[in-house]
Amino acid sequence: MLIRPDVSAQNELLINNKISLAKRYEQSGDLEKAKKIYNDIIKEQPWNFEIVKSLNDIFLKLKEYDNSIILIEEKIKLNPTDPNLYGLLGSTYATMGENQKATEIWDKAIEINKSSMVTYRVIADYAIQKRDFNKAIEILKKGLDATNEPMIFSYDLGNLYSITMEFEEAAKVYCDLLFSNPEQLASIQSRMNRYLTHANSVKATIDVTLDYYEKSRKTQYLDLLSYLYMREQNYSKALDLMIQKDKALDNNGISIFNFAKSVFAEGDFNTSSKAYMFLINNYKNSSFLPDAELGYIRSAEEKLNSEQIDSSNAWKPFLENDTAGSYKYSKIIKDYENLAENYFNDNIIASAKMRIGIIKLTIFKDYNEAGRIFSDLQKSRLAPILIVQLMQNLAQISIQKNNLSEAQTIYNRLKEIPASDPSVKSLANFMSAKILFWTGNFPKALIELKDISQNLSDNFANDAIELSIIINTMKQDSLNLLNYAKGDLLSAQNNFNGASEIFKKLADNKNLILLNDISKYKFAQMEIALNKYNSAISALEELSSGEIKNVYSDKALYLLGNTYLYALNNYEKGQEVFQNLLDTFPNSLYFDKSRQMLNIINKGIKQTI
Amino acid sequence: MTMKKFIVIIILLASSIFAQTKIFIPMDLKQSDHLKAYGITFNALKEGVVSDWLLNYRGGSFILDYSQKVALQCRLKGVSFEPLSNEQAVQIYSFVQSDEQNMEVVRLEKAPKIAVYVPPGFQPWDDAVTLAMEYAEVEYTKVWIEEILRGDLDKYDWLHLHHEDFTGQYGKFFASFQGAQWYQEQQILYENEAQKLGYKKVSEMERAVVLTIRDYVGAGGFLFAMCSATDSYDIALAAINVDIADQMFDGDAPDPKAQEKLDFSQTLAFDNFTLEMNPYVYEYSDIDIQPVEIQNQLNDYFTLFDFSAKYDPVPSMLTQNHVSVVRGFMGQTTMFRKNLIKKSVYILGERPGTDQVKYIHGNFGRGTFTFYGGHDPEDYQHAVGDNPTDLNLFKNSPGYRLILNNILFPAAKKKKQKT
Repeated sequence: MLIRPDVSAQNELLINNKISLAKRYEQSGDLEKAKKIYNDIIKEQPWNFEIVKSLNDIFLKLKEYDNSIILIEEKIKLNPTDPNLYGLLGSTYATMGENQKATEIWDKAIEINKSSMVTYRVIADYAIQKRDFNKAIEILKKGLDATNEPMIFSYDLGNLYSITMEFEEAAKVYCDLLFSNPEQLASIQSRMNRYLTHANSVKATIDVTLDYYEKSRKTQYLDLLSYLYMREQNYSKALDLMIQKDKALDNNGISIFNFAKSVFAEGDFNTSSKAYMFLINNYKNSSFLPDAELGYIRSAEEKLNSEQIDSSNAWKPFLENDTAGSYKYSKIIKDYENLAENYFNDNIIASAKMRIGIIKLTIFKDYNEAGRIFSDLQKSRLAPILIVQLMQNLAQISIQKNNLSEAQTIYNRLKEIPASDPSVKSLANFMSAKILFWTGNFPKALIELKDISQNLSDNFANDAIELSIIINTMKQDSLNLLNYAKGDLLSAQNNFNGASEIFKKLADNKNLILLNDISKYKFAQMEIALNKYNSAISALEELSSGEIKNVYSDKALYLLGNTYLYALNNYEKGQEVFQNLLDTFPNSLYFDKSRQMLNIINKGIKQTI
Repeated sequence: MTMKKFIVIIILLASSIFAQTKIFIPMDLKQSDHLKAYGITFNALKEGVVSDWLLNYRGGSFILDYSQKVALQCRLKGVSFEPLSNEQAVQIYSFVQSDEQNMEVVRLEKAPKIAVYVPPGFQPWDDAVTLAMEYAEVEYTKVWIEEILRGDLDKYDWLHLHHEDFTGQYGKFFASFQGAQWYQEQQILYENEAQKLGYKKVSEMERAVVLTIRDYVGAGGFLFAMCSATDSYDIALAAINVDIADQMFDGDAPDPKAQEKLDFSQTLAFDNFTLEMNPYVYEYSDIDIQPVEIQNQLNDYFTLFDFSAKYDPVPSMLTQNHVSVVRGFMGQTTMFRKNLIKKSVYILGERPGTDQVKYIHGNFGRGTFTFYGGHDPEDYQHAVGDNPTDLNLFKNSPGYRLILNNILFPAAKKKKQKT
């Protein structure tokens, strides 16, 4: 009684050792020795499928297909319902190239086990391994029909259709699955993602999904459709579907609110506007209503901004104040005011007032009114991001009002605020140095500029270097440098006439090395802002012609080319100037831009730069 | 060269060029866009503009007959050029042709016709060869298996190959990407093509392709291959009579004695290599250099050999560059093991002091082949799914220049070999 189990255990151990040995021979490529060992084991364990499979693998590797067939057929006699044995046998025939025979054997396995979903999957796997996708699809479809278990078959079926690029069929399978299993939406989207990068696959999938929705009116198809439209960046269509679903299910609107925010960030203001409007009309008591109203007005403001941009003047370095279209913003200001009055929500009130201030500043150029609004806001409790925005605007107003010490103080504070992002800090550093320059404190300006120019990743590093060169070259002639600084300040304050006068005087002074060239260039910029193109062209031609080139020659040529092209519509002259720049200044920063301009001229397309 | 010969050359040149001015396209560090310079020269040739390649002169510069059109194209494409007077041109020609200089003038006659082997639906961004052609604006035709097997190669001077696996093992990506949609689609694409063309297995179809390409080279065609198209091509030739693909690639087991049955007399460049038969290992054979052998990527540079421009014009053309040391880059096939390269093959670029060879060239029949290891010269380790390299950021890429050297030499006028 005690001996028998020991013998059995010992025997088991022996067989395991033999299996390990056979596998080692197999791995080392000695297939004959492995075959011999497996043959020995199988005599002792004729029922062990793993050994049958291992021995069969060896037969296939040695291309002994007859032995494979004999082995498996013997085992089928012992176990006539085992689908794996039929799967193996069919595979051997498929390897031999006898696909018809393989198909017959696989079909027989299914015939024997018609109601077993496992058999369908097992046999389909063998067909997939032998790259017979059509057979695998046929088997899985049979399994689906016989068992009505879409969760078991649909993913494999959909995958097979997608890798064989039958996207319409794949979509149908997934839509069928979604019909009975709406909770599978995320998994289905993820499966679809695998093939939706193919051309036409999105359209095919949308068409199929629309068809399923039309027939069933199931809302899960609306979710899938809005996902598909968003992939195509067709936000408007996606929104229509989300609204449809929201109405059908009496939802809470949160998903539409989030959608509106993301579409606004993408710059599709028409769709964001539509989404916010839907929320305002349908969720009057919701907690997000004030934000939806704010979003709606912001969308309207951005739409108006894009209409107001004068693309024909975008090439100019400076633009004259143009408040002609400002009246169009009156309604938007009124809407912001109403919003601020209607809600006791600090953040909404502050955001609305901030927007009114910004419109007054940038559109109406009403620095007093904008300053008053921002000063009022300063007394409120503000979110950190609004504080940074507020201070930037206040500093800008101070510069416009020539209150430079106040602007300096604000920029110094901005540098210290932790919420300021690096680009804001970088602007504050440069503007602080500029104010020192404008006020004639050249040594201190140089120190601050040095800090900026040493950090080459700073956006203002180039500007800092350029200004440093001017100060260093002219610091012995502080009187003229101060005049230049004054002209520069006037240009920042949009006083182009005043600036032009100063730059002209400096440009005409032949004794001012470097400063007369940069002043001439600045003079041309001011004249362009004032639409005085002939005087601008004369100055730019003087700068760029002649044997001796100066550091502004390439810059001047580029502006000259643009002036001919955009102000005078003289394409030939523009082409000549840009070609001259390419020939004369191969290492210029304006080289690539000039090439682009030549391409534009050659294609006959006048584009905004 | 004797003085008499030298004077004859000058007189000949004078008769053809004294009457007109020239455009000089420098290819040294003064060039703002080396890659587009090849396109300018190629397209000028197409228009019948007389063009010369000045081997070893200022980085392998070009001189073209002057025309407003070429000058404008140079400006538009951002290619640096210098207009030359007759006198200046003659001075340069004289200097380049003088016996003291390891330089040579090669007259380019016609723009070669180029075919690039690209599977349908593949984008240029994953293939440095098409990327270079597209950027340089060099016209090429895409061909694939069917076109090759029906004999279309006769229409072309060049055949360029890149990231191809001619062994029928789908790049041996099985272990890492067997479940990936792109891998499965790729396998189906090849299987369908094989079925359409009447082959039982993809590996059999690939064998027919490599033999057709070899016949094309033997008959005078020029073959350029990069990355896995290099070693996989030669492996496929060596295995022309033996099954080396495992069952997941072609449905049946490989020949257990495949290694012993390889026939190295069939190959172009490599011999005595050992196959990597494990289908789960991402490597074809021991031809390729492994990353661990390269060690620190910061030290991965290869050196271009300096050939005699007058005696070895073809290798000289292939190695024209503005630098002699080029940054290395990896690929499925990164570099070639020196002791497995046939003795008859020229080594054009290697990592000095190692057995790692990057760039080789050889003759086969009346044609030539050039193999260049690595995938993308400006993306050290280009992985599946990585963004395409924007060549606008690498206008002066020495690595990409080597690809474009391989489009012009069939244009060169045949000269009597100097002995």
